[in-house]
Amino acid sequence: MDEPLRLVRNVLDKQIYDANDVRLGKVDGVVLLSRQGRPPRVIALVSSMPTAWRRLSPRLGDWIERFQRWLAPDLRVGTRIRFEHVVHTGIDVNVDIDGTKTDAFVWENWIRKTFVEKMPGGTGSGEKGE
Amino acid sequence: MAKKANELRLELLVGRRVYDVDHRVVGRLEEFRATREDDEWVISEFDIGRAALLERLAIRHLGWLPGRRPAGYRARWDQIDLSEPDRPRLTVPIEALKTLRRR
Amino acid sequence: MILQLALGIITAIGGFLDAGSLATAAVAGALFGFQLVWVVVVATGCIILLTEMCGRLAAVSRHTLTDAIRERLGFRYFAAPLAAEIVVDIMVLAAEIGGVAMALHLATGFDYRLFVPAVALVLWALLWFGNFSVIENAIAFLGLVTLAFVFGALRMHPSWTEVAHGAVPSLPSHDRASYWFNAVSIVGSVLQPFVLNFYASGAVEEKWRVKDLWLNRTVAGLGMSFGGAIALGLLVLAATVLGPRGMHVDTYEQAVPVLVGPFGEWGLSLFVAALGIACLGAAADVGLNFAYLLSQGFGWNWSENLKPHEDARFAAAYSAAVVPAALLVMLFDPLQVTLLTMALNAVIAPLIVFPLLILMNDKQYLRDHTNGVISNLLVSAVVILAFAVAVVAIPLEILGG
Repeated sequence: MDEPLRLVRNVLDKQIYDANDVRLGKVDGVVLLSRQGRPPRVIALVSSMPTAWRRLSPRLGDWIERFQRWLAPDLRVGTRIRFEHVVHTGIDVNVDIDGTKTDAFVWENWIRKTFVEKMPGGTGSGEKGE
Repeated sequence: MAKKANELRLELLVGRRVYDVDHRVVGRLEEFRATREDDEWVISEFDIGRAALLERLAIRHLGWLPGRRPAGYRARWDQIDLSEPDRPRLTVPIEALKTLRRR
Repeated sequence: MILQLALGIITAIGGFLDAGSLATAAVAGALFGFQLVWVVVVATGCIILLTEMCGRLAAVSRHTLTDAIRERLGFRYFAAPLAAEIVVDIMVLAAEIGGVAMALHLATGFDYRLFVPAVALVLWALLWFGNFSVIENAIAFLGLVTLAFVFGALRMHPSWTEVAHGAVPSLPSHDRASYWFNAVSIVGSVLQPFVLNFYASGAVEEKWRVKDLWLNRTVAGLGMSFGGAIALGLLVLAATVLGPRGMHVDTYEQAVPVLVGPFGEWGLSLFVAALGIACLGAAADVGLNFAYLLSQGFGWNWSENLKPHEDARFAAAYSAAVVPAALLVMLFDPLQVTLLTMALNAVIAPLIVFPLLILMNDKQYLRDHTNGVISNLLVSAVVILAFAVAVVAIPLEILGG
């Protein structure tokens, strides 16, 4: 990646894929580190519902974050991936880490345990028809 | 995720109006260009204004519409002050910025 | 290859036909004879153009329309079609569940509300246990029963000269507000936003690639044309069977004679089968699209081919949609829900159609397969039409609905 990286066109809102080509979420936010007398540094991607909705309204984002904490107080709200893990940008963003080692699936796992596994046929894995 | 004091959120800066030294609106922040410095990505330039938006959306074909050329500027990282994220400001006169042209 | 093409066309027919297209065609034919044929023709042309583009976007970029709208236009823009489609998809789902329940009511005589919970449960089970191909292909084959509307129209020997005159745009001979409301409803029943993203999602599910672009063009063109022909068949039937008797269609029961006319006592069974199967298929499509919309908008793992355990949020999303939809149709008459929803489809369509002007010219997504000048002109015309229809839809609903 030698050309200037266009963070809005090629990073923000793009689909994140992990090292195993699994979807981790969209890039809802990009964190910059402000430094005195030096250019801001790009430090992390953020994928989280409150971050996305805060772009419409800070109050809406805060409400969604409170709702998530009420729903599952023990769960982390959102995923933060350090920018040095980004290996490709464009219409997708690829990172070189295993998504299961991040917080990207906490809500997926919670919904699986709370709802899916309680329904008939909710415990089988793989593709349908196998 | 608690926000740290020296962190800026790009997604909240996009679309913000940029003001010049006389508090007039220059345009909106539409793009952030980053370059590699050692092992880090740092913001090198900002694109401001309607031409920047058209370029970000790659709507060259809409450039055929009649009317005056949309205004757009490219500012270096040190030409914009982001200490107040709600109100980004130029640190130089608008004439010091590079102009973005519609291709 | 032939099988793949045939399946694709049959599935596209199913995607066209649902409670909305059936209801609006029947109402329009009964009230205005052949005068609104041109609206069906124009709307079919528009949906062919739009679905081909959505399929091309998906095949080349492996991104769906929802993906691309969020990714290119940003979350602030995306939130508008997201919120609108969440509401309208649930209403469309209610209309489709109501259509199936009404078919069972027509078959048995029992109140349709008794069937709504069972229909909702069957639909949910279909989505939970079925995969994409089984759902689409099985229902699509059963949905060929809707060809009864075409054969029925042929058997009634209408004046084809008059039908052809109806294909030329004209001003209404009476009741202008109702005429234009019905025109808008037909447009809304054909240009349903969920159809576009569902088609693109299906292309990704079926793993279409650049080599399948010919398949996309053929399926979009022939499939949607056949779907339009079936809707036209129903409009012609309503015009020839109901119109001369001054019969209006305010309930599904009043539409049944359209098939009794050409087929006698078989007509009721055919109508029940056509309505029930078309609506069940559409319910599966819109239920899935609700899940596609949320999953693709927020970047979750998604595929109807995965077991619910593998994409829990996707499965939870369509499961959650079924409940409010079933409740809505228990409270309100299915046909009225359908007609209102079609008008709302017309209102929100520009939010989903306008981005195509940008996306179909984006080389990052489409590489060498971006729109040419003519395609851009056509889609621009569709966008302008969509905006015009959106502006007048609600006033016409009040004045003529």
